[in-house]
Amino acid sequence: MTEPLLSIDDLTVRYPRRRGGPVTALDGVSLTAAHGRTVGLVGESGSGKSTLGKAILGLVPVDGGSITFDGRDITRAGRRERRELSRQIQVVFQDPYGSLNPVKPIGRTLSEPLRVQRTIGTRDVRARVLEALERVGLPATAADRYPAEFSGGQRQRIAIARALVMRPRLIVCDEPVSALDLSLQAQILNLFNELKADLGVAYLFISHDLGVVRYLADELVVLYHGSVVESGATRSVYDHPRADYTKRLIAAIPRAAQANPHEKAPSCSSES
Amino acid sequence: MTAPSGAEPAARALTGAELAGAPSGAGPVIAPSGRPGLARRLLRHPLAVGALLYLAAVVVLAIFAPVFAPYGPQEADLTRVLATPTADHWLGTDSLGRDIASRLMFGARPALTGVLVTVLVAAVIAIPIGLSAALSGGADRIVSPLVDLLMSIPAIVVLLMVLATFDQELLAAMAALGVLTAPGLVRVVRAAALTVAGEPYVAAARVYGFGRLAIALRHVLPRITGPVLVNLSLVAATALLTETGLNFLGLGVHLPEASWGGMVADASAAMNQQNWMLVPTGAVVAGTVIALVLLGDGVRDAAAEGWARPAARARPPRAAAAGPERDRRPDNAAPADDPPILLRVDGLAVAVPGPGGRPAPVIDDVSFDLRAGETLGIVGESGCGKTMTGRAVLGLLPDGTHVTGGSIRIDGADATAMGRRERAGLRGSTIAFVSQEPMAALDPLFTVGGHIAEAVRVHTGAGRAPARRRAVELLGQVRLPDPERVAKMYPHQLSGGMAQRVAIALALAGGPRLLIADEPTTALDVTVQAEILRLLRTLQRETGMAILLISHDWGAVGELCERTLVMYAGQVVESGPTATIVTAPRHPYSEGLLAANPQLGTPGVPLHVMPGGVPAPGEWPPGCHFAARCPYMTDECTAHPIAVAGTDDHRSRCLRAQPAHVIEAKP
Repeated sequence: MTEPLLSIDDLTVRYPRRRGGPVTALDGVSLTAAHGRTVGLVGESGSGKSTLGKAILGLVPVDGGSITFDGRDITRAGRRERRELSRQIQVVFQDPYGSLNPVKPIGRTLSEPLRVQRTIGTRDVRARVLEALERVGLPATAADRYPAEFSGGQRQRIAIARALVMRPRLIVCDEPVSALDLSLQAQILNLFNELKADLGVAYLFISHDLGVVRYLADELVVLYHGSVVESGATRSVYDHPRADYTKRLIAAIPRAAQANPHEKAPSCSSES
Repeated sequence: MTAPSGAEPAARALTGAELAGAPSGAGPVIAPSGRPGLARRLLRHPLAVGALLYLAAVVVLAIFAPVFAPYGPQEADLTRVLATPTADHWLGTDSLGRDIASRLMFGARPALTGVLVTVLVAAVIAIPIGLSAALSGGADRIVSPLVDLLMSIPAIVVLLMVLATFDQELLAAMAALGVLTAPGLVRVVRAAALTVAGEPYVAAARVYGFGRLAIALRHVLPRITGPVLVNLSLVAATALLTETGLNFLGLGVHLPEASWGGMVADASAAMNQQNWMLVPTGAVVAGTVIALVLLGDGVRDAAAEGWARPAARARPPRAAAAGPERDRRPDNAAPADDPPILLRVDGLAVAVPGPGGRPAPVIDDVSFDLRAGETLGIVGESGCGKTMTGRAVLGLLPDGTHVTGGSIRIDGADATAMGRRERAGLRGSTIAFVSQEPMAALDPLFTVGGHIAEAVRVHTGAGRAPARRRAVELLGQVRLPDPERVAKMYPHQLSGGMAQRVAIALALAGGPRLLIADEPTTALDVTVQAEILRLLRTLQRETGMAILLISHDWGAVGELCERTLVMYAGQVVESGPTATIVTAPRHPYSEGLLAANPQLGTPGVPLHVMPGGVPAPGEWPPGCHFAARCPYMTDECTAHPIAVAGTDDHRSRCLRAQPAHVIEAKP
């Protein structure tokens, strides 16, 4: 097996509190993500799944353990190194309304990360922006409009386009479809899969929704109270959960949702 | 403070932005772009334009005072003192016979310079400090206490000291005023910037390598210009009043020189002989203060219009008369010999104020029956009208939204014809409500037990002690472990799942016969969702109440509801037994919605996608609302409104469901 794209080893993150000792958000978490694969990270609120994403992005300080990206230790990367890393690692957040600056036209929002790099000419910046918009299925005219003119699903496409302009190798997705309605959610999930197939991008896909993760992720990591309680290939974890918490999570999926008018219920033998 | 009751928390819960935003939430909303610049947009605000013209005139007259002023500022004509307006002196003269108009022009010079100095000093100090306090915890630890300290310094004392030290130099005093105003402005900047700094797009900017300075300048500052401009205009107004006050006291401009404050002082001294002189001086000072404030407001609004979606301004017309009486079966009519009908919604239509002030329908021809003890689900995406339907039944439509047709019969009585008080009487006792955000229904100052006991007393008239006992009983009924202990807890001590149980207990306090639950599990963790659904099902069995569950989640509806309505763009498009709809949907929208569920998708196989989004209210086509996204669309679908058709049990608003049509199923 080749070296994984992302490797997290024994990661610990604590948040300071005003009173009392610090809260441990992540306690010795380890996982790896391979090139062009999707790792699903599930857990309830407060399980530390969003903290893990933030630690990879350098948005929270790490108290112990290491984060290795493409063979290099980025656990405590400085600002300059982060800027350079932002070409490799990008992010899509949950809230399609808060994740775009409302006072900036879309084109500005998309070109900003490129301009920060200072290595790309103005004409190339424009070309890259239009390419990213096209990639997520939005017209070039969208570049001159403001976020308020777009619906939730369209905004989430724009947020994905902002991640794509950098041509990253890893996108951290923090609940990227949770705020969307079913039909829009399906559009965005399909988009994620297309981008993975076409561009070879890997995802760390953080979600509370096991159904979404089961559909999208190659591997599954289950977090509970800051620790990994189970991980493995999605299918095997889903079909044969070992940890109690995973079992409860799967049992909580309403039965009625499993009757499908179009496709047969997924069975273990139908796919390799 | 009003004590909470069973109905009122529901009302509060309903004011959430989520509800208000629901009808316009989705849909392709790409309006023509090409926005005018800030100056152009400012011209659309008549008050701001007036203020701007006024201020421009004051500035021009001040700068070119030697040119425009008919007399010199010190030019006295002792033969004509305290004159009222004449052709020579069109604003009259003062006690030394000096021309008031001329002196006002010259007096504007120290006034405007002083205001400018104060505003500049305050802005230059406050904006960088406020931003750094918001964006860096370290800076904040120094800035915030310092600001509190500085704000307690009495300004006038400092100003007098500065004037004493700097030989009555007005500009020094105005600069000092700027320094003294800065702490208040720092607070404004810091608070506004803190809000913006928490937005995900700021985190995204950090990910792509922005430093604090770049974030402050590019992302935070443009967002907070509104509040900062408004506050600067207030600073300017205060500065002008302070400047006038100082000169009134004779502390700024050295005396024969003209100043507005000095002129007010002259006028007040001569008031007993001639009170005209106060009029022009007072009017100019007051006018300038008002103009500064109005301009600040106008610039803020115009700046925001650059990026915000144009808001609907116009007021809706008063509620129109109810539609013609119709004799028709509801969309989900059930066999006749069932339990009595508790709720009958017939041909309901609801409209919100749309763009341009025309009412835009958000609910169109919704009919259904709910029998005692029945569980009915309403499924659909945001913007389809499910929440509005629930709110219409509760009689809690948001401001401006009103019923434009049809009827809502609760226990046979027409609720749309009821008065406010009568309607409120139904809430809590006959109909109860549980929302997505249980915390919104709980007042942080009351204990859980206090809340529920209060609701019990309101609905049953019970005494304190029995109400208290009933509250603990209700907490036990919603399966909270150790109800005695929970009763003593405050809302902030509850987890999300516990809070939702408490909200349900609160809803049960009045012994309702119908519970409307709007996305009651959406904000909860997956395992907790399942528990709450189980609880609702158990309670339904125990109490025999009917439940109307509003949800986007097929799973939740399937778990709880015997029958389901599927709503799309304001209409019920399908109704029938949940199990039938889930396994054999008749309407293409139900079909698409079910197939889009990733829960059921096969990894590696693209999910079924309905192209586009839900059309916004006001943009509904005349025919089938779903036609544009429908794989089976024919010309006939778009020609005229589609009626509901099908068997009594399972009906759908689709031509394919109508017996006259032989439909060829396309692959």
